[in-house]
Amino acid sequence: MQTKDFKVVNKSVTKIDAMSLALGKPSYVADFKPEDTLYVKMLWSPHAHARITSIDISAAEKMPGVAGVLYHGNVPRVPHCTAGQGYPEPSPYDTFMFDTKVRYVGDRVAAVAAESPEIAEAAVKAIKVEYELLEPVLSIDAALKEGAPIIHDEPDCSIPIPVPYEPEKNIVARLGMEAGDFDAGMAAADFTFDHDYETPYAQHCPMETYVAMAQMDARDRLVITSSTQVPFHTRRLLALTLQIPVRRIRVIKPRIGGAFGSKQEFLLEDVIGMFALRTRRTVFWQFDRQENFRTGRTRHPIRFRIRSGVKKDGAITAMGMDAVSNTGAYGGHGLTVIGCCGSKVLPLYHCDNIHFDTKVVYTNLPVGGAYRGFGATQAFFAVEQQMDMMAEAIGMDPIAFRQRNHIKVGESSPVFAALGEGKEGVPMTIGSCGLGECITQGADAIDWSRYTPHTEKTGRYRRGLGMCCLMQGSSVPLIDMGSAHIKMNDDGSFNLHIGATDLGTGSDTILGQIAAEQLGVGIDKMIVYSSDTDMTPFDVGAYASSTTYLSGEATRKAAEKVFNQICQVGAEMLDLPVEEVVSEDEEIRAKDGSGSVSYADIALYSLYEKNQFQIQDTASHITHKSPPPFAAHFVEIEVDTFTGHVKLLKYVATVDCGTAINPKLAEGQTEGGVMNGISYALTEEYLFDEKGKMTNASLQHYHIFSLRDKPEMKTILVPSYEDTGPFGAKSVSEICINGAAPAIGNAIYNAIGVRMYSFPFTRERVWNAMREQGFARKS
Amino acid sequence: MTRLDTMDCEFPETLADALELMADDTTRGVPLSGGTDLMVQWAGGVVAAPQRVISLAGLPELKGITLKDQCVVVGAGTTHAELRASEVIQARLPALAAAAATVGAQQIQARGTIGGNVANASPAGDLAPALVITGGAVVVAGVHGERRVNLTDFFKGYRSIDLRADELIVRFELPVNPDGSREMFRKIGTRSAQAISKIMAACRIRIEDRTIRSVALAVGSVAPTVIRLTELEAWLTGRVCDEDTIAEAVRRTVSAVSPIDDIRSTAAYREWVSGSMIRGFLDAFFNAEARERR
Repeated sequence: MQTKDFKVVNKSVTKIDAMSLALGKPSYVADFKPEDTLYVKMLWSPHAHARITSIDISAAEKMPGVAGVLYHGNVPRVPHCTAGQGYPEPSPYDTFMFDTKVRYVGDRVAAVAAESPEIAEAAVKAIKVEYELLEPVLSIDAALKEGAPIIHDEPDCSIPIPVPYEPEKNIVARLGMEAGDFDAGMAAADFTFDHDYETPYAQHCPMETYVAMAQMDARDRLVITSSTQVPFHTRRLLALTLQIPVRRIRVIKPRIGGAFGSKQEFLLEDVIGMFALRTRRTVFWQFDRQENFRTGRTRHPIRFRIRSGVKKDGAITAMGMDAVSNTGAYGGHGLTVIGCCGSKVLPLYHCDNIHFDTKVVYTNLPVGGAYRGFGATQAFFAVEQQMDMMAEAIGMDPIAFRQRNHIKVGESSPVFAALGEGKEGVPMTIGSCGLGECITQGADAIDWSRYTPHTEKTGRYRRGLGMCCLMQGSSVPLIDMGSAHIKMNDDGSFNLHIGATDLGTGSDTILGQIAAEQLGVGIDKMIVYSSDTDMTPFDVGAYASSTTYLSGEATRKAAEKVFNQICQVGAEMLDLPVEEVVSEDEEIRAKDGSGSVSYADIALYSLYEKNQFQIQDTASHITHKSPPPFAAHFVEIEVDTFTGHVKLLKYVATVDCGTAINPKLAEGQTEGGVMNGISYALTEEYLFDEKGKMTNASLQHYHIFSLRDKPEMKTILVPSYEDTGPFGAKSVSEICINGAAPAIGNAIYNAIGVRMYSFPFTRERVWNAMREQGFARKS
Repeated sequence: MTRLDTMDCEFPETLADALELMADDTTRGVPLSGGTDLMVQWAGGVVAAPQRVISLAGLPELKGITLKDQCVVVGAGTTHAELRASEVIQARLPALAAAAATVGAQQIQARGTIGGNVANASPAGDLAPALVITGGAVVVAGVHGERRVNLTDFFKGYRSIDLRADELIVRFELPVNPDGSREMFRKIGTRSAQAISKIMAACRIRIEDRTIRSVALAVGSVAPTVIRLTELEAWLTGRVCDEDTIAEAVRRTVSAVSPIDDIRSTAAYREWVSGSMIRGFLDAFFNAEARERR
């Protein structure tokens, strides 16, 4: 590993927005709402699948205080997708602002804008709708059945890229790849395995639900303030759906109260934008928690069949993944999530014979979207449990088995080249990998030497150890782009303008650190402003684990250019060639010690004295690879065999994210992601009635893992140095959510000898598995 | 949003004043103590918010925990936080102290009261099993005087208690856990805090020389209201607490409960785990007694 002597980077500087947030200063969308605001309420579909045969908005429109009603009869019909992705999107255009058909409980029917939320609510109740009920499609099997009802039977849905799209079969996407000879690999194995796994729905549950506000400015431009991860995609989708030019739209993202992928979506802005254009008023809309669950985006539930073969010496001879993903009523992110089941998972272990065959189906259930981990979370649950099964069959310790097989520096995988985002991927050789060290340090921290097989355990309470290895990516290569602009001020401070989107992750801070490091100044000299389509250069937004690696490198490049200008002006002031000066302590100094000028002097000189110009520059960046961060997670649990309760005792997360630009924030990302993953593994669950309506759409009944159950947690950052990243950095935010379900699943097996093929690991599900697999009590 | 300031709210200063208000149709209102059940039900539209509310907060007659003649007298306005922190409750009614510590989360424990928990009459009310194993009583009052009702009779059915419209719950009289007896409480929810019970159970038992001398068992969330397992108690009394006895007790427990599927769990799991909880209690008591004999 390359070591570097950093001054600002790799230091836990305080988050630049921490104090204002702690003091409760106006920060979030709702804080900026003026007195004179219209409020939106939506009439949501009570049916999972129905055609609207008639709709009467006249009573609602006439109510005092109602400023407008929108429905399919009075807005343009523009096919689009709600996924905030690159252009053209790898998602079907299967959504309309309002349609004559509803496709899930929580789909849009009609919207009201009124002087108060209460009036809007009353007006919504006054809208009369008649439905022709259609048979709802409530499972993957029902969607794929011969003669199944067609969910998207409208003639104008399509996908804007050349990939399979078969709405007449309820199929949103198909994706597959083969490497080597899978069947031969299975035949060559000493042991083969063939198991089915299933992963459930989940919602991101950010503190701040979806929220956005629309206003017309003095020059008749539409200004949207939105809690969005993708301001530039939102602007593009607004122009499309409202049918106005991009130049008439400005999108601003203020602080966000959490997103985790849910806000990589275009769910509110078209409606409030349309109301603002029609009323010339400020229009505000925020989902309540029930709307956030029912209409907000979710994690795609996926069904897996994993087939694999292993030789007695530990060589993996074949790895096959067949998967079907349920995208719900609309197809956004369907193709890319299932793609990441392969691209972010299968390269982790050496294997020459790979089979990958997947499809994504529509159902009349809540809509899948982007959620931290993005397919890798689902696939690792299956693959990492199967890894343990293979290790057990050949009598090898699970850790030794993984150490033997995991990908290492200088190695590649055919999967990288085969699987991309809606097209082929990009070949890649691993340039940095601290996974071996992650495994070693994590095993020490949990004391893996205590690992004994379940057959030796007795009594009511049985302890188990489990672990798993993980990878993810860092940005989408050759597709995603980020850019930065930096200018120097009179006092030697700098404005950093970035399109990148801080979701509470701290990216404004770490991009400021990266610029400061390159410019040779302290973080206090950086004034960071981000995510405003009028004021900041383009960035795809916060997703695909890209901000640090992609926007960070754009920022570093811009800072490098500005730094060179500073050196030039400093040399000019010192009357020396630029080769004869160095930068130190915010000064340009003559190498021979003959003189120095401060950054502030240079700024004043360049702005006011001679050869005046604005010291400033901009840079853009695309990546040619998506270097994976790596992680190993370890957990110790105790199963109460009298109740099926899985109690977490200790959780160790080790992660190689290259250089941690801000170690405290990287640890925070890891701990938060681990808790998020634990919650998904143990307690969160979507419950539906027989008509497809979610029955527990509240935080009272949808249970997020509580702090009182939090185990002892330890996070270990294992540094490596990724040459292609800014100061050696890779991503860290997504990978950490992937480990809890497989590690706990492996620990449950180690405790009681029962294998969990689905989760959450509730008491009911553990007990059912104990019964089905013939768990016998031994005293 | 439900707001108290949009309701007609009375703040009587004495119990007598409160009972006067409750006595008359025209002045009566919904009694409100900590509000941890009612405010949520009103806000969520589960129950329509009433026009009129009688606040019981701060009534001195409803406060206090005192030990009198082998009986703990607990005012209806005692909060869960006060219950769990009380040395008397911890020492003499340990199952009740344990149950109070599992209600909601600490914020709810600070406001919610024992009287409110019982008046809410939820089948999943956390305190109910710990109360009924004491064999104690609840005292209710109206303007014409007090009425003492055995707790097992007080819980009449689903969301139904033996309380008239003009009455208020005043206090609980709970016989202490006698010397030589032990108590346990166990709640099973999805998580440790902020979870309504899937099931919970409480037990008071005396074992001497491996023989069960007396036992009281109650289970909640498995029937329309909390249930005492009286037939099982009778069967267990006088028996040697060995594996055969425990296995039969589990079988009898499972057949005594009548749980349902709902948003929190399944009938099948509740049935199985109610047996497991009784096994857990008997195992623990038997092992503890065995340790002491050694």
